[in-house]
Amino acid sequence: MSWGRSSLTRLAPLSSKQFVAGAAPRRFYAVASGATRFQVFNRRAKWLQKERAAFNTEESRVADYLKDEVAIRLTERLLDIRRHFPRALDLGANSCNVAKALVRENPDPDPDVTESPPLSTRIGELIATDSSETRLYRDADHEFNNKISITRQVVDDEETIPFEPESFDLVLSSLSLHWINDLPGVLSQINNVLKPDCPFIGAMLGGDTLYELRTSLQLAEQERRGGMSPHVSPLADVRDVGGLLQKAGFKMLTVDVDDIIVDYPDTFALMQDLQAMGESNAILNREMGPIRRDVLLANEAIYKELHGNPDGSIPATFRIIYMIGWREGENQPQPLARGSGQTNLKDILEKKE
Amino acid sequence: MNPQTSRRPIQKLSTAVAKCAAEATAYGKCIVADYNDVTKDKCAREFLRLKDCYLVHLPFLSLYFLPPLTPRD
Repeated sequence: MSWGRSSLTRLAPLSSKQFVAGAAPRRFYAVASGATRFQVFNRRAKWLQKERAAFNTEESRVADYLKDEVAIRLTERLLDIRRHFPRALDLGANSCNVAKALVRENPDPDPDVTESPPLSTRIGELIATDSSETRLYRDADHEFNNKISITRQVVDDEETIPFEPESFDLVLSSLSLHWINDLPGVLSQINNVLKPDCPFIGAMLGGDTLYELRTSLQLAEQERRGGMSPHVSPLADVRDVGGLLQKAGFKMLTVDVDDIIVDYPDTFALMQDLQAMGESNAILNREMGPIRRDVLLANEAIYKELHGNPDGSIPATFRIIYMIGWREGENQPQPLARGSGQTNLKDILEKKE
Repeated sequence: MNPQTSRRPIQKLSTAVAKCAAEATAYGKCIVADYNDVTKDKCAREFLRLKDCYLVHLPFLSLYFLPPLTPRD
């Protein structure tokens, strides 16, 4: 094939001389790896949604159940790390749900000690960042603010972390990473702001989150309008997260999944709550404007038929991916070489029974 | 629920649809029967029945104020 040959000759690598000279123009095949940034979400639309949602203080507080629950489960992972963290960062803090979870009573009290303090006593200073000011400061006058030293900081764009390298002893992130366009980039920035041998603990929505809504909206649009537009974000899967963390340079990874299923009276209640959480659709190439009434009507009927509970309510699945990664440091425990194990795990497990 | 939210158009939609359970089930069954092969207007008849029922149950005159039906983002 003639075209094949010609393209082969064009693709031949440049000689080192040409590179050194610097005169050779950059060709299309010389793209630096990792430079492409896929834009999936409209960050400005997301920011507007968060601002608007938080503006209605009461409704947005009511819809905080998911974020509060995940923040509690996330901070419980801190119990395993017996350390003091002088400076911690809460990235994408929403309405400081993590801080609220930290000041709760210790969920795992030590039976040997009469008084076990809440987790917040182990944190020197918590810096909470979010792009939405209204949301970040929504609960600024609550009493939990007095129990923890918290600094709120509004950032222009959550995709660039404006902190010095090696300045944090802990980075937390609860339910905000799933709106990031450049997840690999943000993860390596997180790795960069951590001090050596310090952990990053994050929770994000992933995998099968809202698959019921996704499928029923697809069916409804297909039947009513003969085509579909994305309504539920593409989300990272568990396997992807492990790879991403590794690529960002984290060590000693732990990734686990947790499904939270919430029952709603109908799909309108579900969508209203998602909106109040600030989690409405913000995909870049979605169809602009509201979903049509016919589609909503059809969606309600299909959702109930396909996924509904016997009692008439509808379930909505939120799959949370928790991830823990450590910045590389000296004297950090290292995994042993493959095949170097001397004890058979099977023997130990069988003896125990 | 506070009065401010109950005045939202989506609430009217929700209450009206809730009164059409039978029609909704019929439409849902029609789609779910073979959801791997859904084409435009496959269940148009069932849908129109559902829509008729829902329009009947919509509060008086609310059609005039309906357009922003969905949660606007």
